[in-house]
Amino acid sequence: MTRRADTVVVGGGIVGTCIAGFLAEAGEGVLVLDHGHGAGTTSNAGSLHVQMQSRFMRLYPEAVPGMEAQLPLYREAVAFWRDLVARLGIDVGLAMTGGLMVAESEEQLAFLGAKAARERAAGLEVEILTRADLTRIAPYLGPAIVGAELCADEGKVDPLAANAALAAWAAGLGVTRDRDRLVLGIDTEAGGYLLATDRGPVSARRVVLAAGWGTGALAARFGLAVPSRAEPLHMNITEAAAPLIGHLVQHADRMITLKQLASGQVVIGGGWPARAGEGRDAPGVELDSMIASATLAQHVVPALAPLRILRCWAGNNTAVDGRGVLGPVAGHPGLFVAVPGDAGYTLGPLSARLVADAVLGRGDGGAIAPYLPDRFSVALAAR
Amino acid sequence: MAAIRFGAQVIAAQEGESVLAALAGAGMWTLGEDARRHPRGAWCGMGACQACLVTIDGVPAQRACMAKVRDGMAIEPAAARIETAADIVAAAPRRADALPLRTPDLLVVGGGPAGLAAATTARAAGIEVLLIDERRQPGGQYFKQRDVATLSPADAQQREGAARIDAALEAGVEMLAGATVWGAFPGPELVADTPDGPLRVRPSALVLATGAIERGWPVPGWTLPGVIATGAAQTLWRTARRAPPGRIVIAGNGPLNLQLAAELLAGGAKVAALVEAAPAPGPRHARALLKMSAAAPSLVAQGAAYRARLAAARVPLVSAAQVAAVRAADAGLIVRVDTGREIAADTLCLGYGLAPADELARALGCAGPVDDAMRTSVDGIWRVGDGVAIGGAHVAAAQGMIAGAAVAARFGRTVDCGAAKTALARHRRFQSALWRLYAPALPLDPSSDADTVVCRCEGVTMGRLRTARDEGCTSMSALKLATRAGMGACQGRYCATLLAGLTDASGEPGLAPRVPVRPVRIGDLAR
Repeated sequence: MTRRADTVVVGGGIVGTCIAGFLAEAGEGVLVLDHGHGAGTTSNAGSLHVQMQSRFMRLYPEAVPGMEAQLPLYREAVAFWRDLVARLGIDVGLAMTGGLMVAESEEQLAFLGAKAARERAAGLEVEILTRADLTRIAPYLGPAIVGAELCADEGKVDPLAANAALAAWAAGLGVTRDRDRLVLGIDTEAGGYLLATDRGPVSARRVVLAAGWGTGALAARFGLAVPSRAEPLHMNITEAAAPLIGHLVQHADRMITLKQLASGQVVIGGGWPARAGEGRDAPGVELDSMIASATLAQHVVPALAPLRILRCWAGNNTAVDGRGVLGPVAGHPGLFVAVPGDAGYTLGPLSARLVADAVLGRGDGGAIAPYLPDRFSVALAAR
Repeated sequence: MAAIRFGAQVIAAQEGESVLAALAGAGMWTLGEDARRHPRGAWCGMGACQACLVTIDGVPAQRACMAKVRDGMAIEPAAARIETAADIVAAAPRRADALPLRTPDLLVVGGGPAGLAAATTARAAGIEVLLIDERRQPGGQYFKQRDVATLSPADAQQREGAARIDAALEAGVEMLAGATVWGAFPGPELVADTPDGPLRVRPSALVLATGAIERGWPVPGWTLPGVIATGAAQTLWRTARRAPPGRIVIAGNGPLNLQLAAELLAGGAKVAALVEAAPAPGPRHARALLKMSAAAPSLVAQGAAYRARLAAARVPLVSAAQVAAVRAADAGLIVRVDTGREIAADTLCLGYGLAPADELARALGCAGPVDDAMRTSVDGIWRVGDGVAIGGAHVAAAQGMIAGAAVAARFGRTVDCGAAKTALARHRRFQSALWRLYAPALPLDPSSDADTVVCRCEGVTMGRLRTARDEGCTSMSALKLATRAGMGACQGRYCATLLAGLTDASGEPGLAPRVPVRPVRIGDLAR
């Protein structure tokens, strides 16, 4: 039997959940379809990034212009997170602690200096700190750290608490969520779209593709070649410690991110690879990534030594071209894409707002213009 | 003798026993606070549940049940959040290939009856064998050895275990004791925390003999200090001849509870009652008893002797009854049984069955065993003993021997394991008759109310879980994400079966196995 909904959101991660909530606030009927295994809901680690991440700059130098173009959006996105959390009155461990990108050499500090200059030009408030500054504001950093770039607009949020609270908010507004339904393909039908899923067809007037790295495959049918790809990453989390690490910590030259959640647990990541999952399977953790990230963490923050790692997990980050893919699909009324690009958790709620406004026909569309999916239109490229 | 300090109190202890044994012997069950800031005490007594964490000589989060007493030790209740020192030396970053690597022909994980048998059989056929066991002395739970050399003599079960350990060593099995395998990756590649630091092992063949853990019994009050697993009490007794002072109530289903009661009585402890879910043996059990006598007459005689000892001591036997709730009284605990009866106790032991410790097998994607030789779906990996399905020590030993012979065959050696196959069939007949004898009068069902803690580590209650389920979390992973149940230090070992009962995903193999299967200290990885 075909299930019917006015608007279907494919993907129940941070983006899909927020879009569903925003549409429901406007009185729309929304059904969220989430795969539930290895989907976006498992991937996020709760960093609120603003400054350019050195890892992406090293890995994808061709995408740096895209990242720079999107920098003001990051700051707005973090402000949007704060406003949303305040407006909904939810306790999700949001803390605007500022973020440090640490350096171990003069060369790395020079890299940070040049990066900071470009970021300032884009309107960010960043400053370069000396070791003496760090000893004062971040005494937990190890002796190898000689300086850092501080970005005051960065912070962190407990992703499990936030996902649960936002899902509850959406549910309270009447959003329905199928937690274990995989969308296999989408086709047009009279007056809308027909989605094939592993639990039977779903028919909808409007469809929003918020499926992270899986979006490209679903959008191809509509002439869009969105190069969304899964980047399986290894993560570690420790048992709870007394307040130790205030900032969101990254490294100018090494793959490490650190933050302490409101629970006291320290999340250690930094882009170390995980094993790609086969088929529908979630990705798997890697021993080398665990050893490398844990020892690097203790190199940067020596006091981590007595803490035990309780759990490792692997999640898929979604990479595109350094820029979000947001908005209506030209030539297919009622079809929308919502992929924030890198740092999807930070950009998730604001991206969702922009797409929800596009769905509702609100605003002049100016804010979303740089991110429209058209740049991946196969037909346009052929012309 | 040794003296240790727990908070401000000085406690007389025995050099070599576990910290938990010393504390329990002094009747000190409260070790700190749990996630909900309620008093917290030990549960499993075997290193799995992480409920007995304490700080020892300044090192936080140590398991009291696994840490060994040294004279002058200073023990503090574990803080809910660990305070770390400011003067710790930074690590040099390293990669996995910097860790020492061993490549034995065969790695056996677990030194209980199954692992010892597999290792000895394969080694006797000329194969290089490394056996890793988490306890300081191999033997597993069944053949647990004494930790304190000056104790009263070993009993028959311990002597039999010692003989098997000696046989393994004499055959040339290399044993690495006190080492915890915490990770398993495709290859297979396993990684252990050893007394000398982390170790990688890439064996040609792997036998997983990881044993079982006790199931939780989430009734109201089961997380109170002084409520422990039956196996925990038996470990305290068998390793250190420690029995908790005061009244001990033992409750559950199966022969382990009877054996514990008899052993504690013989040691002079006060057993206030034995509560058994099965009805008292009667004429309708005659067939089962006959079959058991035919299969293993000495085990039947042993059981009869245990019962005689309880009768002689006039220990009340409450049959066809299950523990329904526990509450703290002015002094000790009040145990409420589902018949309505209440029994006062200072310690309550709960033994409501075992669950296979299968996390390494699951992390490696091993299904099965897929044949009689205990092979799994992954070439070169075998699984044996209670880590596969609960069958007891004798079934486990026979399976270990059969797997050891199959490993030998892989290396071109022939070992006759006909006797093991016969023994396996005989002990399976015994087990099946035994569990007819111990069939509960009513299905085992802890009466959890909304406030009953299901996930001890994260303090998640049954009410919270039911609400999440009713809100649409119908899979175990969704329940875990929504409530944090299963995200704590025990890795969901004690709540996974309970979560499964709340979901409609009967085919789900449990919570996704996560590395590390035991928490691992960052400083130890950098060592």
